[in-house]
Amino acid sequence: MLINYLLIAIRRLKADLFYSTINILGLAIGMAVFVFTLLYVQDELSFDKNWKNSGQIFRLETVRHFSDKAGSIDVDTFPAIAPALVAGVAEVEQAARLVPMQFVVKYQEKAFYENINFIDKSFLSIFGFEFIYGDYETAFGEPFSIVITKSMSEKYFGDINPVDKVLTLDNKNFYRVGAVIKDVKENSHLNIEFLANIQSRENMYHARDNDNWKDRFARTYILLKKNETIESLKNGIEYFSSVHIPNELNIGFRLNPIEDIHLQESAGGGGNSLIALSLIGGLILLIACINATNMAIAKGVGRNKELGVRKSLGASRQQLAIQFLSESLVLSVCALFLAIILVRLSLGWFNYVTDKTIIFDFFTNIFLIWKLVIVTVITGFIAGSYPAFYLSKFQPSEVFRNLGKAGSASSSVRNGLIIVQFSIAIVVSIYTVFIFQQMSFIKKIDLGFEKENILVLSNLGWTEIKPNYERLKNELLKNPEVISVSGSMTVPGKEYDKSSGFYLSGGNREDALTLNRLAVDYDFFETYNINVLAGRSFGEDYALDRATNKDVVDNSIYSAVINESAARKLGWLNNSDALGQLVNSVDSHWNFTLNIVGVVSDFHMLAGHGELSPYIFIVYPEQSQYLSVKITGNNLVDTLESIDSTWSAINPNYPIVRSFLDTDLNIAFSRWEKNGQIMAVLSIVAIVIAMLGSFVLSGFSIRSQTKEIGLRKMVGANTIDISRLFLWKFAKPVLIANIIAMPIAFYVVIEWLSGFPYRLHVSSVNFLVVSVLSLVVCWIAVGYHIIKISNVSLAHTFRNNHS
Amino acid sequence: MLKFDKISKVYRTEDIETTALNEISLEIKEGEFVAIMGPSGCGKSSILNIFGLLGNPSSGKYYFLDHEVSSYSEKQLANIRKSNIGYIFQEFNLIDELTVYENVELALLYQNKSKNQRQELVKKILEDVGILHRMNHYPKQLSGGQQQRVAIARALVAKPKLILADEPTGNLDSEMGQEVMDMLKALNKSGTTLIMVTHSDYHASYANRILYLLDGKMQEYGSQNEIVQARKNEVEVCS
Repeated sequence: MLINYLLIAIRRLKADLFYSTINILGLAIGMAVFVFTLLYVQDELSFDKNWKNSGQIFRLETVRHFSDKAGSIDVDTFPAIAPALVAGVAEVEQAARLVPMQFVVKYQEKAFYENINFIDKSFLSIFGFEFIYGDYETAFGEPFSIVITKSMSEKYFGDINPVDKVLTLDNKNFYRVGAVIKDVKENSHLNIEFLANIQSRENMYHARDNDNWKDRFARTYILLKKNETIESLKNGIEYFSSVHIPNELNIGFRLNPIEDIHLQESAGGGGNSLIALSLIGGLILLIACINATNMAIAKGVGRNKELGVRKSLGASRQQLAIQFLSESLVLSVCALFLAIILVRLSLGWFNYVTDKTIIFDFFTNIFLIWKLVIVTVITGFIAGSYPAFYLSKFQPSEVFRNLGKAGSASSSVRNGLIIVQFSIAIVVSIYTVFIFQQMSFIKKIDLGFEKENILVLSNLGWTEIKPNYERLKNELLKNPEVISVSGSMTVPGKEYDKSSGFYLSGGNREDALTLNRLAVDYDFFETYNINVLAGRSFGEDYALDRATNKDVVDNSIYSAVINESAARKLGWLNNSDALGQLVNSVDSHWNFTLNIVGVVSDFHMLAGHGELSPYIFIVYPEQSQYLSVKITGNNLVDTLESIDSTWSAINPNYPIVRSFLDTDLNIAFSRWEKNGQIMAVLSIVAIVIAMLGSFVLSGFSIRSQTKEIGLRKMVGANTIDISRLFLWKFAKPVLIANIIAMPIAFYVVIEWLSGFPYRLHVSSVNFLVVSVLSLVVCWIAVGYHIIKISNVSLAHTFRNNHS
Repeated sequence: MLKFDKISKVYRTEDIETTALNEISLEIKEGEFVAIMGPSGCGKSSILNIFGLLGNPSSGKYYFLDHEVSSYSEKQLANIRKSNIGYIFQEFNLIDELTVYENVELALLYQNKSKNQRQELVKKILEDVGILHRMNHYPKQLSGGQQQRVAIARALVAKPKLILADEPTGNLDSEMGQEVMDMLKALNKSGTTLIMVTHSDYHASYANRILYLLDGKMQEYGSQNEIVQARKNEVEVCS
């Protein structure tokens, strides 16, 4: 019986090849979008699920409380915590630290900047790394041992076994390769290429990490005992915290399952954006299914004879429903093959816009086949379910009586489905228009600083580079094309969160307000052309403007500059009111009194996609991580060559890492631009599928009204009259779709924009343009059929009457 | 075999209510050949649909093989149809996408017969109706007479107890019509019960009984002359 169903389905597809192709194409596009959504969501949800103990591993994070900002999360903790947890909390099976640092790694002639993660040995067993050369015992056999990944092994040593070879870190630390592990999969929050024993870090820096309860710089990973619960672990850590952590620090801890970390840290809200993406992917597949459904209903009208015959021969309603579903399944299987081709062709673009390396390969991902089968069956079911139940319900006698006639019910259902299609397409289109406009708006925001012709040199905080800071700065300034040079802890465009609580001297510590700390050099404001609104900028003439080497408690009063936001936050309505005021920090950073000597204008550290934050600045060039070099822009090649050679002369062992600030800022925007590209493609897909649907359906509809057209022509209607009649007929569902879609789109846009501190005005023009475009799209789709039918002869309309 | 007990069929639209059959009672015995006649729109197709379980009566009781079936579910009716009733339509109603062989085979598919059984039965019946040589053709490649033969083969292949024919010669020329009627007569002689709707007095004469439907009521006539007389009366009433 099934063969009979399939046979008839395939012959029907062949009989109406043009419309079948359009139908399959629409469904294939919808399925391809859904498959991409599936691949993306699957990849996002797979992060850190492949470790040996994935479900049992937690990252301990610091929760910092301020009077004005509760629950700020810091992923770093005190290095002393991990060993203390193993000894003091019964639920902890193992705890390990990870301290990420950067070094220039050298082997023979090969030298590159690399991330070195210093870890406790137990880190290897908690995550269950797989060894290629060496093993758990040999990994850290000597104090200065290092474990490298397969990729790093190939990068530095080629194909040989590198165990016992020696790598040099920063030209002075010699690490013996203890083991080679398999590469860490990309779907992990851990960025691991080199793992060194944390003991060796202590040896290098003469640190006593096991006793360090002061500085937070270590990531702490905890393996929960097999039979213990997360709740009891939380209680254990809470008790531990109450014993070890002084109350005045105002910090607590939270346990973060490693499987959740990636989604939490993803741009755009992680889980929420996954839901939104899944929803859009699903809706686009739904639009495609609606096309198939509508066409099946439209064609079903012409299949009454077959239905009646089958019923008279004893076919039950169930058997007919199965027949329709089988036909729909044949359609979705055809669409699947086309969808697979579409996915393969666009996988490169997809990986580019999503920054992923998803592989679409049935051999390496056997579950992919099952997923595609499920998608195909579901698609077939959605597309075929309404025709299956609608067309199979009629009594045979009614079917024979209505041969070839379309019921008013089927027509209203089809119109209803067109309304759903266009509603979705309109919402997605309006959303896309606003994404592009918002991106353009942010790009045009006055960032409050000058970004052109600023070259940023990185790695200034390097142990070997830091002592050369002043010399480097002075040498660079000798170049006539260099206007100014300034070090700073960060530069605009970089994610930065170094906040501390500050309170007015003589005031209450408990009333401390959170400000971002930013240590800069004298010329920082001049380099970035940031306006001084009150008081003065820093100057070398003022002895107390430079807080030199003051990590310890100091009774001196050093100069500070704040920005406008900080002045408002600290309670001064006029910028000049801030001048001469004294403030103190509540924590160990900047442990001295600060005298506010100037107020500068606000500027966007996050280049438009973050809020304006309150900042407090001091001159403390020793903390500089970056050097901003403002150049004239003339003789650019020579200037860059000169800067490079100045750097190499002063820091011969460290390659220069430099980039132009405006380029970096554009990279920061690229994530949003890629999101915009994805949405643009999705909205084009939604519109194209809806358009294909309208094209096909209007064809069927107009064909079934051939007699009516003939009669109208007979009584005097001309081509314009006929065209007007059908244009209005097909415009109606699109207009209703607009009425439904507009408030939904408005809500979606407002919600999305509320995530931006700076957002454009929601203009009704965009809504109007999309509305008009939706009508135009619809009319283009049906126009072909209208022109065709309007021009056929009267005799022909009666001879080929389908009604 | 079939018994109507005060069967009515009423069609309702938004404004109008039309009574197609009005409390009709009758009985048809096994092996009979019954012709149903009447003017257009008198309810001939309605009564045939009810006979064939293709439509439900609005009221009354219908006994099919001694079972009262008017309250049966769609599934139960489908089961009775597939093993007991064969249909022949004026429009042939062959499925255009299936070949001659596949159209006839369709009747057996719903009876879950094995492939070998189906093959044997279909070829036999196609041979009987003289269309075996066209078994791989599609309906559109056949003449009207050939199509009706295929439709008859489809109706007969499952060896039903009852054949319902709705103007089986209506779309055929007289020679073809004659051929089809001979075929039906032979079928009846072999013991199959036959109910045929027809406009043709001549074709009705093949039947043992003639039922005449007018304004939802049924008259039974034994001979052609009685029908002719009844029609004259009908014309007088109308004028």
